Amino acid sequence: MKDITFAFSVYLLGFAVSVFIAGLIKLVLFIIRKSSGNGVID
Amino acid sequence: MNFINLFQGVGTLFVQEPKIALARIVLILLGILLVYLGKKEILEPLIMIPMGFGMAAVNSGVLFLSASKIGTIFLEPMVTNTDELMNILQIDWLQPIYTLMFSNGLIACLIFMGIGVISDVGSVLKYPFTGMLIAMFAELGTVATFPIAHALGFSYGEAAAISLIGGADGPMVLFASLVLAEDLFVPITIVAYLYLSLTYGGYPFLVRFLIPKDLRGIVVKSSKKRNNISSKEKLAFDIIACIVLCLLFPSASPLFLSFFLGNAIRESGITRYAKLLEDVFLYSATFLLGLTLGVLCEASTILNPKILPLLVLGILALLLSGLGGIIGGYLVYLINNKNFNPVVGIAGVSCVPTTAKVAQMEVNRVTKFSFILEYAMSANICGVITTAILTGIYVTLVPLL
Repeated sequence: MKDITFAFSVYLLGFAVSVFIAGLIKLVLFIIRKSSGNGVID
Repeated sequence: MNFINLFQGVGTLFVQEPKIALARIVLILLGILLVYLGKKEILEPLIMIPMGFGMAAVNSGVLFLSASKIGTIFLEPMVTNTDELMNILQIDWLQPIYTLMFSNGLIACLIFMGIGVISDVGSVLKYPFTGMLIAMFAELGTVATFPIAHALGFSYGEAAAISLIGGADGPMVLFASLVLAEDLFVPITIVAYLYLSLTYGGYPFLVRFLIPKDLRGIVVKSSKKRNNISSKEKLAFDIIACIVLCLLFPSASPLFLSFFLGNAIRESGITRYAKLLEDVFLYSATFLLGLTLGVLCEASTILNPKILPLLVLGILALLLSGLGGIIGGYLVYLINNKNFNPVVGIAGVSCVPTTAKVAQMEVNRVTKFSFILEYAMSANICGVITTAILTGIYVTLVPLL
């Protein structure tokens, strides 16, 4: 049970970091496009 | 002088334990088979041809090192004493490569730099959430195999390294197994590379089995106008993602630095460095990786009782990851009101660019009018990033267990 909990925690943490990176991508693109006056994607 | 001392490669077969002698013969034959399968491109030739040669040669070239010791002059992986290592470095011809490039993970980082150079992160920047969602689903094998491996008697470190086979990224498995499972890193890495070569042949059947033909033929209609991603934006992403991931998981920072630096060089337009990383670093490191892995396949390796469960767990990890990726593809298909091709899911398994090619090929078998490669490459490169993240998590957390 401890192993399953650990694996699940690893997965959740990985998921959270991946979503964070995806959000970071959006933020980086937003800032760059805003500062250069181009359109913002999505 | 008798026959045994004159032709020592053959002679040692008669003085070793029968099971070791038999294993040597089996490995020589397996080496020949790997070269053949590599030539036929059933397995990846870039790895399999040097690996097959190394495997055949190391099991043929066994000699009497002293009156009581039998071995080879290729390399000695288990040496720990510094004085002994200095001696061996001057005798065993592949020992410098092993000690200075292999056992410290440098070879994995060089390959990762090359992967960075050949990866276009533009598709990731266009579809970051879709790519990351699919890629995380395609990590199912990377986590689900962990408790199974531990239940089968592997240590936490070994279980984590074996689970990472599900991430389908050879350098990552090599890096993690060197850190977490030093005693088993040879068989784990060999199994990983053997199975990764098979994804090209095996995943199409999984896709056809799990996704009906009409869904495989979906043409994705793009409703939003998406601007092209400039090199400046890709470069900004590279440096920021590298710093953030290194801050979060310092123990995997060599991998993050290698990948993002490789990609930054591509996006900076420094063609001389890009050619150096791709043509020299990537192919030299891949060649030496294959050769060194082959040479590490001495008879004692396959006589390890952990090999059989390892073979089963490796295939299970990749199967679960493929399954997870397709579930992720279905989820995005439902989220996007059925305007998405679920075949893209298989590309979340980060075998760059093999699984992305598999996805496009499977769609092409149904229709020539559906072009999903951009989505597939997004999921594919996100898969590299998510596998690196999970490697970082395992390398950080497993020693604390």
